[in-house]
Amino acid sequence: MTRRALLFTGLAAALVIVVVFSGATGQLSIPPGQVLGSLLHAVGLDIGPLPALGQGHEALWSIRFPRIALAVVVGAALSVSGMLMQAIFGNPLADPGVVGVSAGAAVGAAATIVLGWSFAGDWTIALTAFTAGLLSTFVVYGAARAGGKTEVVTLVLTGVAVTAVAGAGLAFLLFFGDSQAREAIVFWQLGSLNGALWRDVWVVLPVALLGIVAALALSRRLDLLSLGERSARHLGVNVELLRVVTIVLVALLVAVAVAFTGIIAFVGLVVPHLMRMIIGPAHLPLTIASALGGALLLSTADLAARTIVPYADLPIGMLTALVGGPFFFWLLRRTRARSGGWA
Amino acid sequence: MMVGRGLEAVGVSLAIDGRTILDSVSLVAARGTVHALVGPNGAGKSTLLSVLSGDTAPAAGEVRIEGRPLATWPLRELARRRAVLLQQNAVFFPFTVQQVVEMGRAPWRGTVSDHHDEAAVAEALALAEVDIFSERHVPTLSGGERARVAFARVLAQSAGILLLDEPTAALDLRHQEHVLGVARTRARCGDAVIVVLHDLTLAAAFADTVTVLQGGRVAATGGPDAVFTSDLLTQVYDHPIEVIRHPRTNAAIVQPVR
Repeated sequence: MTRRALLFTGLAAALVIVVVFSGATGQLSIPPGQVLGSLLHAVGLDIGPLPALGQGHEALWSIRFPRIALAVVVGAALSVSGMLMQAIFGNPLADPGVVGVSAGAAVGAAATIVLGWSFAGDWTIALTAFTAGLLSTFVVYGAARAGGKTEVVTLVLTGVAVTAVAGAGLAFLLFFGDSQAREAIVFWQLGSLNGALWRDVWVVLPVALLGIVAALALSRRLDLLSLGERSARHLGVNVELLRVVTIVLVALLVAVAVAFTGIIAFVGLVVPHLMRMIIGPAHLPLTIASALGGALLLSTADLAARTIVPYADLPIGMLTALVGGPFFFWLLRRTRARSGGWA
Repeated sequence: MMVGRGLEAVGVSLAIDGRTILDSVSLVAARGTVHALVGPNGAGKSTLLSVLSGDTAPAAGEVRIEGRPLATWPLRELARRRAVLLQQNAVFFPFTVQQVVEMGRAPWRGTVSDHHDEAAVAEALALAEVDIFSERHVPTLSGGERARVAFARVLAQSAGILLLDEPTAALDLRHQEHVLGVARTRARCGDAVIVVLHDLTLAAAFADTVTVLQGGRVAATGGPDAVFTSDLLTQVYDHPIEVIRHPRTNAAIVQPVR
C-alpha cells in the first residue's frame, strides 16, 4: 500500500515538474515560477508571479500548454490502451503499436486527410481512425488467439501481417494524395505533437477520461481474466462481453491518440510493464499508475523532442521507438528465457 | 448441514465434428457426497466436466443445479453455488498467491457474505497448505504448488458444489491424500463434490459414489466396492486389472496385472 502511494505521489510530482519545466523551455524562455503562477491563476489561485503580459502569456497559452496537455492525455491514453490489450491477450507483450492497431487507425486517419472528409467536424479524423482501428483490433484478436490464449509468436506475426496490410493502405493513400496531403501524412507517420491546438485536446481528453474510468470499472474482472477465460467465467465474469467492451475501449483510446499525434509506438508496452514491476499486476492501481506514467513519459519525451537539437522539433514517434524498440527486444528475450521457448 | 439437491445430469449427449463424445450420460451428485468420475483416456471425462460446469452446452439432455437448469442461472449466481478446478492453472501475470486466492471471493463482492472474505481466504490458504508461501508470485511456483493455489482459490469461493478435474495429477503422495481429504470433509459438511480421478485406488478410498465412463457412456455407477470389480475394470480399460484388499484396512487396491 505504501509502495503504491509512494509511486502515485512520485509520478504525479514528476509530472507537475516536467509540465512546468516544459512550459518554461523554448525559444522564448520563461522562468518556471511564472509558468507555475500562470497555471495557478488559471485555476483561480492567485499565487505566484505571472509572466509578462503579451509574448510570454501568449507563448504559454496558445502554443506550449495545448501541446503539453496533448502530450499528457495522449500518453495516458496510449499507456492505458496497452495495459487493456495486455489484459485481454493475457500477454505482457501486447501493444497497439506492436500488433498493428495503430497502423490500422493510421490508415483511417490518412484516408480522411487525403480525401478531405469533414462529415463530423473536428471529430472526423478521430472517428475514421476509430473505425479502422476497431477493425484491425478485431482482426488481430481473432487471428492471434487460439484456444483461449495468445502465443507470443502468433501475436507478433499477426502484428507483422496487419502492419503490412495497413502499410499498403497508407502507401496507396500517399500515392493518390496531393503534395500537401503527402506531407501531412509523412509527418504524421513520424508522430509529432507539433502544432497541437486546444481543440485537439478537447477531443482527446473526454475519450481518454472515459477509457481510464472504464478501465478502472473493469479492473476486477480483468484481474480474474488472468486466471484464464474458463476460470474467469467460473467466477461469474461474462468473458465474451468483457472481451468486446475492452477491444472497443482499446480502439477508442488508440484512435483518438493516433488521430492528433500520429503513430507513437511502445508507450503502451513500456509503461504498464514498468509499473507492473513496481506495484504488481492488480489492474485497479495499475490503471492509475499506467495513466500517470504514460503522461509522464510522453511529456518528457516531447520536452526532449523540442530541446535535444536546438531550433529543431524532432518527431516524438522516433524517440519513443528508439527507446521502446530495444526495450521490446529485451522483454522478448526475457519472456523466452523464462518460459524456455516461445510459449 | 446445507439442504439442496446438488448437481444432476439427465441424458447428456454431445457430438463434436460428428464424433459422439458423450452419449446419454446421467448422474447425480448429491450434497454430502464425493462423486468420482473415472475412465480411460478419451472416455469423455473432461468433456463431461465441461458440460457440468456450464462451459459447453450439451446437444441433448440437461444439467440441473439445485433443481434448476444450468443454462438459466445468471453467471454470478452460479459462481456462488459451484466452483470449478481445472487442470490448467496458469496465471498470466505475476499475482501473489494471496491475491489469486482472494479472486475466489469475487462472486461474493457486494453481498452480505463479503464480510467473510478475509476469514474465508485465510481458511482456504491454510487448508490447501499454501499459507506458508502466500506472498510468492504464482508464475514462479512449481506445477504442484500452483495446483494447490488453484485448489485454495476454489475453496475460498465457498460454493456448495465443487467440480475438480484431476486435482491430484501434479501432487506428491502427501498432498494427494490431503487435497482429497479436504474435499471429503467439505462433502461431510454438506457440499456436493465431483472429482475426475485417474488413480482408482484413490477413488476407492475417497469417493462415496463412482461413475465409470467408457466411450462417452456410463459403464457403471454405484459405490466403489460394487463398481470396482476385476471383470468390469478389465473390460473398460482393455487391460487385465485386479482388485485386491488391503490386509489391515480392507480398502480396495486397484492394480494392473503385471
